[in-house]
Amino acid sequence: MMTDVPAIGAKLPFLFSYRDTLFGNGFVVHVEAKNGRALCVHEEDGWWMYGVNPGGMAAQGDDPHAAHAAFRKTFSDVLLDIAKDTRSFAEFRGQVEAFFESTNAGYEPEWSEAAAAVRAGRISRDGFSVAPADSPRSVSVTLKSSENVRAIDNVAALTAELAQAA
Amino acid sequence: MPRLVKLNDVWRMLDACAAGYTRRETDHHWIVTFRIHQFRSLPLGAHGRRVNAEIEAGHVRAMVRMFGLDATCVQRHVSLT
Repeated sequence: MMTDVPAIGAKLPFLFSYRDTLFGNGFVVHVEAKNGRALCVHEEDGWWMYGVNPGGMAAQGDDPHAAHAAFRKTFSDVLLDIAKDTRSFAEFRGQVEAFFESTNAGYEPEWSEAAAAVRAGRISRDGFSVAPADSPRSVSVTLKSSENVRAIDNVAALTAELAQAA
Repeated sequence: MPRLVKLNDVWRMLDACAAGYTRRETDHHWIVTFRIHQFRSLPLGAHGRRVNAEIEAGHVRAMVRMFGLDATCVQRHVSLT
């Protein structure tokens, strides 16, 4: 197990699952993203979490946990931008699906190589669970009526599951 | 400390290396589109909307990779590593 500070260039392949509930223009919506892919790299300027799916985002932190926390917030901010930009639920859902399925092909090979290294036991990182690299990826976008809005939805933006891909 | 790059240099780089790209400002980010790709989280700058803001280079590294831009062209305009 890796317990000391990994060298510059170390790569950790992650799968993440997030739930968000937010307001759109005329609707309340629940977004459940499962098994998005991100590559966390120890760069010379900190730990960077680069989205593979969704590909169009990145975030930085002093360690992998901090990078993930910033990545989680960025994901929610993108959803808020989409909610503001769209005029209907159908338009919102279409843009969220396109965003989540976008791929950063520039990081995809390294993500796969890093997942293979975790699978082979060559790299690992304490503090993260492990999940199969081929865990099915999906995003569901559903309308919420006022009847099924719950107070727990207020903390949905804080929920996140993160696992090393293997 | 994260490496910083000037947004104006990023726009110049895109003008030169990603002809036809478009950008749009939202409440939280710049959305940059090139061909079929869309990078949705380029920061506005450390203090929000500012003239010639500086942003962390890693965001640009991710965008350059997503767009598949020529590394030599990119390096002529911004230092990302």
